[in-house]
Amino acid sequence: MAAPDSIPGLSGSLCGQPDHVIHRRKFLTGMATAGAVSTASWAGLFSVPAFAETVKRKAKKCILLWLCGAPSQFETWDPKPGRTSGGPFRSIPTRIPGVHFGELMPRVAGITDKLAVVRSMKTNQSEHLQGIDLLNRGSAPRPPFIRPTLGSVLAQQLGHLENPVPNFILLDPCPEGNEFKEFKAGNWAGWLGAQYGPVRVGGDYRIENVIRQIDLTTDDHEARNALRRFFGRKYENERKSAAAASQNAVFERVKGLMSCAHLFDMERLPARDRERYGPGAFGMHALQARHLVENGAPFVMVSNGMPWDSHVFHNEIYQMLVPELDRVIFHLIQDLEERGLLDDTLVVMMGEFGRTPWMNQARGRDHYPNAWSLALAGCGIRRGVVVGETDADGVDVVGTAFNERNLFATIFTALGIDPYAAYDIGDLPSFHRVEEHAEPIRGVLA
Amino acid sequence: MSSPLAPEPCLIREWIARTLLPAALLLAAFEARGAEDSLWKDQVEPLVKHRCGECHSGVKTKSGLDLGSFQSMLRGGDRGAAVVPGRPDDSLMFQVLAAGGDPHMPPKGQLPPEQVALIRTWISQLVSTASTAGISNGPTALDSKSKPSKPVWVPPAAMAPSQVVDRFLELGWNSRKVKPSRDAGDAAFLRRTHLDLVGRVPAPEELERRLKERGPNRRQRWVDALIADPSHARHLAEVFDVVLMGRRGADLEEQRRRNHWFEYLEASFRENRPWNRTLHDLIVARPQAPSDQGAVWFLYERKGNPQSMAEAVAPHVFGVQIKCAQCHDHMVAREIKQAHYWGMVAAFNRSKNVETPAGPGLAESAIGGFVSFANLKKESQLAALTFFNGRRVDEPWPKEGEKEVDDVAKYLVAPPTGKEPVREPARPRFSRREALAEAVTQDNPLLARAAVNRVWALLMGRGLVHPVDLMDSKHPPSHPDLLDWLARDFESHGHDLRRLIRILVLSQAYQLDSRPAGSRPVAPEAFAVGPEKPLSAEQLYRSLTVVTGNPVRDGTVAGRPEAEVRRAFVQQFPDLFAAEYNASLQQALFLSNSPLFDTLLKSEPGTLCARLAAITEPRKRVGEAIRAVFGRDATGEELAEGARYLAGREAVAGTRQLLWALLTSPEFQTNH
Repeated sequence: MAAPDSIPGLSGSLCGQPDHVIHRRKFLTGMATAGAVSTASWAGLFSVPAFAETVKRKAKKCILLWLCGAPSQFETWDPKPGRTSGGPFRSIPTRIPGVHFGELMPRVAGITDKLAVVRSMKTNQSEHLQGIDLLNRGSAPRPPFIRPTLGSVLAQQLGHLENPVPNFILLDPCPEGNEFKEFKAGNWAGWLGAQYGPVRVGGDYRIENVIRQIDLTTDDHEARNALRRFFGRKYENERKSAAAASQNAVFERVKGLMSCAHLFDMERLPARDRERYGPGAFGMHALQARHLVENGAPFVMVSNGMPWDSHVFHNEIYQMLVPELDRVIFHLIQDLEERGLLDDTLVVMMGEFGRTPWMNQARGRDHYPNAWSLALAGCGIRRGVVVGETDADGVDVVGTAFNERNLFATIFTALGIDPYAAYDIGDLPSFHRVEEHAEPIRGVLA
Repeated sequence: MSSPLAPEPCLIREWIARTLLPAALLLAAFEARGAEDSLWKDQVEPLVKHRCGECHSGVKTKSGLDLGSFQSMLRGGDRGAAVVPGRPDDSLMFQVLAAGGDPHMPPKGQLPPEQVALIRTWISQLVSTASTAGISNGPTALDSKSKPSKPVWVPPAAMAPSQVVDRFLELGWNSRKVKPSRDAGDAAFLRRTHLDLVGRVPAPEELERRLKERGPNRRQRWVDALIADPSHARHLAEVFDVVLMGRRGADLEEQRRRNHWFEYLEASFRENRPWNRTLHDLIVARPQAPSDQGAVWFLYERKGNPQSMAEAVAPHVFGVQIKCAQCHDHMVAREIKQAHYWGMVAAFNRSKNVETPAGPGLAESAIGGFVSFANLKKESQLAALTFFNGRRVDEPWPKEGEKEVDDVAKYLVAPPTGKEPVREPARPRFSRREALAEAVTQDNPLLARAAVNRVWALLMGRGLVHPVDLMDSKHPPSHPDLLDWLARDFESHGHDLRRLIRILVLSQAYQLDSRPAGSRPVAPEAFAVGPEKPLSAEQLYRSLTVVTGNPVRDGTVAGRPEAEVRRAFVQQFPDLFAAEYNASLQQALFLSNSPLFDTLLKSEPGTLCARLAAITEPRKRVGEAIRAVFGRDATGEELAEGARYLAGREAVAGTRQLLWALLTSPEFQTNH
């Protein structure tokens, strides 16, 4: 599938709208230069500098457990026992002395020594669509430019276009999902170009039309694709056509997907594994994410509609949701470790913001970006640490607060990617992977 | 207020200025200054939201003060205005932030000095132009002093409509400093108009014949011929099926067909019925003639759910989505009130589906349906027949405790009393559906604007307001004067869709080359490059039948039922009017591996594949293939590339894959 010219940044038009089309050659050279120059500086971000070298050598992967709708910090990572804001649930001790989690997370509490929890997230978007956008792109929008999502950046940085397994897999069983549905319909890859957008799989886990016609050999399939590419690129270049770019990009993925169709077949996974993670689409998809990562997928995002948006009957809903999350995180982290994958696989567990320290009149918790929590584990991440704290009622962060930029700087650093590399995009304003040199959350870096 | 655009008072502008624009204009007054606007958006708004929002926005507005939006902040609360533009020290909002302020805000804690300073800077930078005058605690007072901006140009009365469009766009190109593309040429124009007007590409021989025609008015003639073609109405019916009903799967499509929905739409476009009349018929759902029975399906498919009926009607009569105003006034486009949502719902809440000998019907009761709705503050309001275009239908409400009696005297067609079958759906003397239809399809400039924007988007690739259904204060049109002008022209010519379509396709912008003039990309809202649109499922499969030589015969295509082929494409290519186009991997897989698509490429007597495979000289075969599929001459490079592919391959197999490569490439898969 990889034509000689399909190196990152050179193939296809790079973005969803014609006015954001980038000068591709400049883009590539710019990125390479920036990378070379700044490696030394960002390596210093690790608390153990030698780690930077190790990080660079191995193939890195990332799984994002996208808890859409915004999970409450109180019933999970940052309980406030005895305070009205904390709600009726108790807290339980974890393996880190003095650190408690919500009582609905007993199994995760038992593997705290593998996790890093951040309790001091503070962002400034309290609406879903804007929040989802912020936490997926790591920066506030600056129209008309569309910043690539985390998955697209990692697909480009950790993946290869020759990779038969899609570089960005979105496991998403729920075609609906309010604002998340709206977000999904948008442009994921932004100025990186449609080839870094997600391959969406979900529901029955099968993909249609993935088997080649019997009277066509693999070579024929390949050769006619090359011919199609010739005509497709010609048209795209003459018109700087975003529609054509999008069409050409999906054709580039066909072969890879055909060769790894079996990876998406849940039936092939051991029944025992399915029982441990299940029941439910979220657990099944987390298991599938593990399987895909084992087989070379650099980035898998697991989502499941927007279940965490508990404006009504919060406590009741969380009695169902949190135990499932507890089970899934526990098995995923354990499995990755047992298989020797945890050191190279970063697991990010978060939603778009937290929930209010008070209940509304419908016995729900509303949106709260002012002080919330998330958790990280695996590649490049320190194990068994809790960073940051909130005040007695969880109303505000005490001490240093971290925002989406700090988080993205952390994720990139942990994966061995220069967080501050500039996107050199010709006449357009210059953008960086993380703007304004925002600091990573050093306390969670290995 | 009379419009500077027209010599006589212009109702549309006046109405819009009264009801829609004040908020936007008020903001615009500040936005014009730039710096403090970004100060507001980037810093002040997030700060206020976090530090004050808990008590002063959304569900809670303590002391009547809602800091959830800029306008509500200016309006103030029980204690008066929160800010006095330009005068921070006189602004209550600033006073309460100071250490020792009484009352002091936030109640617990003190904002750090830099945040207090930020509020001070922001208030002092606000200009008082729109501020003090006319602002009171009532939202309606905001409108009085706002004036729409000056028109960019006033078209002479005698100017041809397409030229008016051209001139407006040209002014936009000048002000945006963009250079338009050159003319697309006859071949591209023919392909474009065929796809847009009859839903398929021209057959190769058709194209060849047309291209030999000369004469200055040939494009106009071609357009008129296409509009007169019976497949024009069918194409519009297919498009408006998606627009009005959405893609809902094969089963529902089948039901729509069985219940004459497509027939109704097709008749309406064939006869070029006034668009407001068609919408009127859809809302009323009481066909006057048996041939109009299909009109009922529009509401009937909503299964008696008044909310989904209201939500389906709103975009076509107002140009906006009202769904967001179900639980509260629209949070972003604040002119969309919760009362509008429930007013619209009330218009449908006496209706229910019934079966009659003539087919499905919607009975309507003469009583009941007096509901109230509560906002987030639990304040309850009665759902009166109040609509977004400012119209209100008065209706006597039963007194407290009074029990309404259903009485045949209240009906033109009474509901059945016993178990007798329904002959005709019940029809009250006062019908809420009829009242709504009257209020929103007569003298409603918003309907015209919505239709114009929709048809513009259909032909030009995106709306003057984009996305098409969001014609609210937060989505200003790219060419406001042009939208006004077209909407007025549409309305004053009897809501004539055919006229509108003709004006647009004969405009210069529509006829531009889809390749940009320079190397720099051009903003799509300038309409300086010819439109490019991915083919819809219907356009794609019909074009394939025409080009590959697999015409529809006796309801079959290449030996398969046509309906099955159509459905397969609809399933893979469901999008129409996507706000942002993304090709899907599923589509690429379908085109790569599905037996169905492959069938169309097979070499059978009379197919394109067979005809080409008989050409022995490879370059000639490639040239013919490109002519047939793309409708143009091949370049030398293309001939070489194609011939290289064919070399050493068996004639039929090679040709089939050559055709595959051409037919799946964007040059065929888009309308450009």
